[in-house]
Amino acid sequence: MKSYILCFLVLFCIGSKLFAYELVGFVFDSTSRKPLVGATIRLEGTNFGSLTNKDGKFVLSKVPKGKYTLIVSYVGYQTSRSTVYVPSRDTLVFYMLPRLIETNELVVSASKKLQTVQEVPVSVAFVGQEIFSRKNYVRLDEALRFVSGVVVNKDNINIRGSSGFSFGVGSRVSYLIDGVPMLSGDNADAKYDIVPPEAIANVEIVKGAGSSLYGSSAIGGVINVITKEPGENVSYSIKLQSGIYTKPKYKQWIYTDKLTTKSVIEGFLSENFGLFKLLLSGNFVKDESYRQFDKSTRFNIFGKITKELKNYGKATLLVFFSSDKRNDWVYWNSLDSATQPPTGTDLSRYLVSDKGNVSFLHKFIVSTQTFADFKSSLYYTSLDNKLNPKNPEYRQSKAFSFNNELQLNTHFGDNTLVSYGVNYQRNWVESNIYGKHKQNLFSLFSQVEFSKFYNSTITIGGRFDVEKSDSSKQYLEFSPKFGLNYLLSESNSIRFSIGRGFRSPSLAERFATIKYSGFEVVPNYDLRSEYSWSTEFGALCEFKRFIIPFLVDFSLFYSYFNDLIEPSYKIIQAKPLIRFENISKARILGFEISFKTNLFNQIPFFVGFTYLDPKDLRENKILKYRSKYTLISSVTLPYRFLSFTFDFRYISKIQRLDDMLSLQVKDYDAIVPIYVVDVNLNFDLMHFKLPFTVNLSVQNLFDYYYVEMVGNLAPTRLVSLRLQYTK
Amino acid sequence: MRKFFILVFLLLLSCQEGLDPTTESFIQGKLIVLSGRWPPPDSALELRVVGFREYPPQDLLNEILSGNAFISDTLARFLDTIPYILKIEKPPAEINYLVAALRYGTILQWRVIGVYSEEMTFERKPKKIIVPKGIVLKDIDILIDFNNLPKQPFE
Repeated sequence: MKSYILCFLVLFCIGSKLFAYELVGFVFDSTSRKPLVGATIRLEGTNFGSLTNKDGKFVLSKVPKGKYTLIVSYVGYQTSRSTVYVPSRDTLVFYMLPRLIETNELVVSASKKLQTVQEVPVSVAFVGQEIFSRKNYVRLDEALRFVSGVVVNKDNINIRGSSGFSFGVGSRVSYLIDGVPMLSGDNADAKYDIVPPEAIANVEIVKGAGSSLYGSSAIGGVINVITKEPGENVSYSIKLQSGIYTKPKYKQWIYTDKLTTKSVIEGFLSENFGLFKLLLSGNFVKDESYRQFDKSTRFNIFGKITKELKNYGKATLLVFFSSDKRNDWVYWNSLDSATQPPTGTDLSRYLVSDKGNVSFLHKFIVSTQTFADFKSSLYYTSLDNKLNPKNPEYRQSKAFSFNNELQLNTHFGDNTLVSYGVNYQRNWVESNIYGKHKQNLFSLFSQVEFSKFYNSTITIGGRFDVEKSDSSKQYLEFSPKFGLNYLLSESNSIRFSIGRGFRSPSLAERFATIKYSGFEVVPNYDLRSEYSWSTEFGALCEFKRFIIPFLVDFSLFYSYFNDLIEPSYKIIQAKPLIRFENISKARILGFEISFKTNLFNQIPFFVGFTYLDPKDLRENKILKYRSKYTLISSVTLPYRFLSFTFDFRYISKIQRLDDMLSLQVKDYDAIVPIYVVDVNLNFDLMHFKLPFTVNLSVQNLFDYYYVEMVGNLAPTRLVSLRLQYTK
Repeated sequence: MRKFFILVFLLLLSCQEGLDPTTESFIQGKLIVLSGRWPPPDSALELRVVGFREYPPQDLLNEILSGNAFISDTLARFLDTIPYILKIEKPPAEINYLVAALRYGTILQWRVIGVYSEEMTFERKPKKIIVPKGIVLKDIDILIDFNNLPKQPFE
């Protein structure tokens, strides 16, 4: 540890002695000549990048002398590339040409560096801020439901069939906020309500195994939430939202004469204090729910402070805290009373869950060829069901996850970039259900990228992870990867990748001892990591037909999973017990095709289809809790200050469940295919120079009744109205 | 284009279906204690009515897992007359063995205390019940005699 700190300080000192210059410029719309706010600027092959401010101005600081390719990109405009020389006395000016369809989205999560989506060797999907501003979503997972190949199973995210149903523990997707891992220290689960939607700039979803860069949990993919950067000038917004759940059409499900509501207050502030820039956002959500005894209240506060350090790059401090209190039951009484908890449920019982995080991020220059990215974070989660500690169903847990990473990126010539680093993570828990345990993960990773090699980019990398928790053996994992991307043109590319993913068991899976809602979970000290191999061949093509531009993304993928950790039911001494075990061996073959266009140059239309053939190789049957087909579609019809958005999702019926659930969950097999339509009507009063937007949203328009998790009726129709004031 | 709109129309029609609690049938009746006394509370932990498609049933767990048994909610105990309602999923169904079962131990330890039958012999030859779709079959009463318990199916 001492040598690591020493090394870090040495790198700091070297960085301070560099000769470096500033590049200044402006970005405008070529037609209106208005400045473009938030355009992305980057120097190709380096880690230098910036965003334009409200005047369209950008500044790239500490750029070493040399010749660079400067890339300017912005949603809805053609990407601009030009050669610049540093030092330059001139102020650079760019006039961006609008494009009919967005094809050059930028991604940082695929290779831990900024690239266009055409350059990456894996499938990437995006959820932009406009999704949150146009729809009345208050949680990230509400938006993820409309991403092709992603299925949300309550709090569990499943990318291309990688996850089934796991009692909410052990995410098979690595979840990051600004690149910082955010899986809880005990359950290794992701909390999708910790960032207020107003603070989100973009969400990147990388599909397929990503452990060669992200280590444990990236077995099925990576979700990286990129938060907004505090602006140059003060800006703020306040959002008031209120909605009602309409009455269910079956009288058996009506449990109250009153209409139940969901209300949200959300605020956002961005301010430049000179010394530092601040972004502050928070929300309060009160949800009376569509089910009896299912009320919840939640608040969160999210802060981001950035500071340009004169000779030491840029430092960012992320701080957030979130708390929610909700009634505590797991499964419905029966399909006949699907909006009610099981008979005999203690209606005074509730669960309080807190999440807090402090992260420090620092990007800095080490030498003319080397840039560094340091991240350190402490993530705290707790839950408490506030019962008497002597009650057998009492549950309390406090967990911490301490994560540190230093990544260095060194350029060798114009075409070779080596990224390498070290990561140390320590999880610990103090709980009456998991005991007092700790887990250490130490990793070394490296990746070499050869670009401009016959129009292709080749990526080779690997990561060593050592995992050790008390009362268990030490496990060593090696996760290699290979990626190839061939650019046919600026907008067309083909890609191939193969990589390994793994997931170390969470402390909860190894040590849980719980009696809860009729289930009894016992520990398994011998539980080892599960792993996967994923390969993908894909193509991204842009073409025009009848003057209408189309963008098509196709991928064919195959994943092999072994030692999958799943809950296993055993009858011991006439009692059904659950123990997490390495039981499954599976393969998933599938393809995904998405199609994007802009009809008549103003009607964005998207459709994405995913086919999976998930097979349990041990039992030679379809893998449990997976759907074969998903279809996502979205269309937006704009008319002057109005825009109408129609979203549709279809998920085919889950073919196989765990029959042992019938011991505890009535009508556990009440499963249907999912057909859900959401509509939004957005009034942009900025058109009348009023700083307001009004949004009318109907989620689950046709009040379609379905389950995402066995024995849990999914949200029924919610009609909500939102008023947002933005300055 | 017409095909596209037909497809959209069919999809929208699908959006109006989904889970439906009304597609079940019910058997309704009473458990009537004819004679004898209830066992003490520590041996009468839970009371349910169970309907089996097959008679004689195989082991309880397999019958439940394979969907060949229907189980009521927990019922009140220690009374002389206990009303019950048993949901029959995916009717029509033929119930060949309808019993009142009392749990005396762990989740798998149950004792049959009454059978829906013609007579009150030890064998209690079960009476068949045909359950049509969307129907509540009423007055299906099960007689209980604690002094003369029926033959146990899994012994």
